Amino acid sequence: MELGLTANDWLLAAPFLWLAGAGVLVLIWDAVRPQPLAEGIVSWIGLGLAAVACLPILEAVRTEPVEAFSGMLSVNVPVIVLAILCLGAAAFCGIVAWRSLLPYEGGRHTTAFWTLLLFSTFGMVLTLWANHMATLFLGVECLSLPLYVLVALRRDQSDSIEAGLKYFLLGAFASGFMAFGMAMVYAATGDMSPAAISAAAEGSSLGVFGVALLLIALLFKVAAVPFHLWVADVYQGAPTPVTALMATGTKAATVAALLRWAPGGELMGPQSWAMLGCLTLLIGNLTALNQSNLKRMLALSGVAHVGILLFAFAARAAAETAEATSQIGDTLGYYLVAYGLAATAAFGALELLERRVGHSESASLQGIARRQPLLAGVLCIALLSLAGFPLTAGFLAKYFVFVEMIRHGLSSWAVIGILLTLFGFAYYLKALVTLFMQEPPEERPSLWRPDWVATMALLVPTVLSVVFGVWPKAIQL
Amino acid sequence: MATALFYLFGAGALFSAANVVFRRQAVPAAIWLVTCFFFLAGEFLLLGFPFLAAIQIMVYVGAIMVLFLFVIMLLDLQAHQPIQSQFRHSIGGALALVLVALAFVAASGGQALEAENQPAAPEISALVEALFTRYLLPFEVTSVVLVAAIVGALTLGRSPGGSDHPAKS
Amino acid sequence: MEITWIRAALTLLVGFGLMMSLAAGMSLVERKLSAFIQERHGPNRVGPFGLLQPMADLIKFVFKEEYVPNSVNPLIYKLAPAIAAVPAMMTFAAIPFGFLDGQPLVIANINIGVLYVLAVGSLGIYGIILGGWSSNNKYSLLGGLRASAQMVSYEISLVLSLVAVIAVSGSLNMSEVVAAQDHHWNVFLQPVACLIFLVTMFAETNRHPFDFAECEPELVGGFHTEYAGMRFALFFLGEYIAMVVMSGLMAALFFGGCDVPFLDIADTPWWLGALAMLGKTAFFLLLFVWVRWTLPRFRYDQLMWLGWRVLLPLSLANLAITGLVLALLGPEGGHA
Repeated sequence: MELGLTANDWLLAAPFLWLAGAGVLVLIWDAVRPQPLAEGIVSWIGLGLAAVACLPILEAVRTEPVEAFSGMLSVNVPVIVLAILCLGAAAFCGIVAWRSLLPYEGGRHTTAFWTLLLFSTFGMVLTLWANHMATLFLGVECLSLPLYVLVALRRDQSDSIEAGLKYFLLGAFASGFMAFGMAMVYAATGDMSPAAISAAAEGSSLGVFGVALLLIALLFKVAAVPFHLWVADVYQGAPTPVTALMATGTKAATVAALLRWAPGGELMGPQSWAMLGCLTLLIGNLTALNQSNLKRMLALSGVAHVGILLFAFAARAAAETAEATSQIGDTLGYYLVAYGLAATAAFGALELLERRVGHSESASLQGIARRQPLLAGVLCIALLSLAGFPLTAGFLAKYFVFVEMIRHGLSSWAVIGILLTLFGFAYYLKALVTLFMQEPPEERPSLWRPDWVATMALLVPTVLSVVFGVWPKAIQL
Repeated sequence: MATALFYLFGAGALFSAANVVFRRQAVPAAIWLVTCFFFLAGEFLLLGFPFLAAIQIMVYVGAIMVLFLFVIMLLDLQAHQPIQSQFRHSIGGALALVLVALAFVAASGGQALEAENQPAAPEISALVEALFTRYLLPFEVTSVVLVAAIVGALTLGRSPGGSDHPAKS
Repeated sequence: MEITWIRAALTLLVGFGLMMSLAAGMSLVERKLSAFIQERHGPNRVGPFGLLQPMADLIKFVFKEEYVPNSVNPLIYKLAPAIAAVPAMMTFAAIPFGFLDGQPLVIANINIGVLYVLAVGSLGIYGIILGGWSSNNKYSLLGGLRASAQMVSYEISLVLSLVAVIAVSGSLNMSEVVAAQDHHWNVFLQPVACLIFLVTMFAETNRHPFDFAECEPELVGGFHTEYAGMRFALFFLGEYIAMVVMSGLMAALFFGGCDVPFLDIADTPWWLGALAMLGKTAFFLLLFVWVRWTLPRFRYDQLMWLGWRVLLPLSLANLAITGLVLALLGPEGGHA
């Protein structure tokens, strides 16, 4: 019996060790001497070290993908970039939550918040890198379980509890689908690696059913139509810093997992993927159009973004060479980074504005730009990037996806996609009009200043959105 | 004989599972779930995995369901009423059931589903070796998931608004 | 082939008889010993020295009215005593009483015997919970709730202490664990595990000082308040058999089972080995009674404190140290 770990094992384990180590350290710290500041610093250091530990892996995978733990993990460039994005989103979530969520109920959820944040990030990175169904399932569970609690953390607000309960029940149901599907795929093929998916999809009916169940579970997690119904309520009910984490980290992790674990052309051809994407885009846009709450609007616009991501899946299903497939993988990675940065900035700015007006109804945010020009500016750039305005990362991301579609013979779908995207501009512009061009409600002037640390932190994703939009190569460092 | 028993246990598990859903009172439903786990353990035994059968009983029946019953009884102290269900929910459930059944039939093409991969029952030592070599990472990560679950449960379980601190109980 | 069948049948008969008579005998011994400790006479009317008292009890139980109180859940109410007694009886099957012609003297020589005992043994609690719940009586319910919390809490430490023993012995088969203890009993290799097992053994059987499920001063009779006659007797039979099984486990897993000190197991005549095992079991059965009249009952928070804050960390530390030592000794560590 050989228990030794190889150099690759240690290399890939390092980020996990930092994250789990920091989580446990926070727990022990709280047991010995509760100290909110120290716990926060430990968590940030853990997240930072995990991100630093990703850099040597990035160097190692430049040439070819790296496997570790006898095939349990496998990484390439996009998933490492996305892992760093998740770590950044978690750190950002902590910064934004510092003044709002953490002092909540006398600060007695501080330890739980940091631990759950770290473990959830752990799950995101694991989901991104998982190359075996066992690791995938554990990654998705490790990502979701802490989020259920984080979503329901504001327990005196019924919508927070409602969101947590909805997310938990539906998420647990989806996990059941996932485990059942995995069992069937294993029964059909005797394999639990991503290769088993295509083998099962081509093989017996048992395998096909298993793949379908697994697909349903993942589509639920990425919130594709018709499994998107939870999104609006959960995003709205969750504390906004947590919403930012979900929009960025969870979406990145689960979409990347879907890319690895979705069946290829055997079961779902380009047309079915495109159809799914089109439906998701359409329904996401239509529902977002009519929202009076900005948070809800952003949540549903996230559904629309999943639609465009699914278009990239259609292109992948049509791609024939391995090179083309890997290029589509890069495109997806770029899209997720662009969306993640914009969503982080948008939800972060919204959180700070919420503190000013108490909630995120757009009616009370009218003309807020006059009072809070910096925050409104950040929100403006984020919304433009989400809409896909040129000179932002969001524009290039969409552009790349549509280019891939046209390249792989899906031009008609691409045209539909572009039209729907333009249609989506409507609600982003509506929000901008509310923020900038409407008269603010009469109120006494106050000396309210936004939390400057969080505001500075907000500038990072905002600036990056523009930088990557002008110079996309920068994302590969 | 073994095949007949296998189907018998399978039918028993299904019957128990149906009872879990349709019982109006929580405690009998939980007991039916226990029965269901027993039938499943029997299936594992028939398939040649006594280890799995023992673990199934020890973990699910001996620990998890006991806690379920514990919680149900604690709640029963306050409200002793059957679970209410609405007609439209039943319709939704029935519709979902029919859809899944249809999908299953469509996927199977009317044939019996057969597992092509039937591994021989491993020795416990082989199981353990796999757990600590090939499956080392998932095995270790399970502990992270469990700690996360415990922290989450403790967080949600605290009385709202109070100032209790678990470390100072 | 035929001989093995006969042997299996004989082992089954003798084993079952042994279990039932040990349990019945315990009911007498408990009262006699209690009387001795409290300086009174105890039962002495039926037969010489009251030896036939268990028979008299049995007759009384059988002829009592099978009374079912109003507004209980009848099916579960009637089933609960059986659920309490049967798993305890089932676990007895895996306890080895020695070796005959190199074959273990055991009703069922199960390859994963220790797991089997733990799995089936963990079911006995259902009898108590369901009995308490179905009686529709708040004292009964409280007794059942307390018992479930207590047994689940202590079961973890119990299992962890046994895992250390399994690690040292290198087998899950009870007979192999016994055979591995030739000349070096596990109590010397695993004293901490033995101590933890000793404590949890009392908690798992709901005996003093952990008898919170009954707890006469607070809960009348606890989970069996509403029971009478043979159903009541079944609860007690279950408790006594559980005591027999726990004592047997203690003897087999920690005190060498059929191993007689300074004799090789292979050289020991089978009857001497069985007698040794019986003697060790009897000692721990007496210990149950002895402790009952020596220690006062815990408070409930002390019980939880002991289980979660003392025994659990202790058993985890013990397991970690055991694993570390075994790893340092290499694959030849432990008994092997």
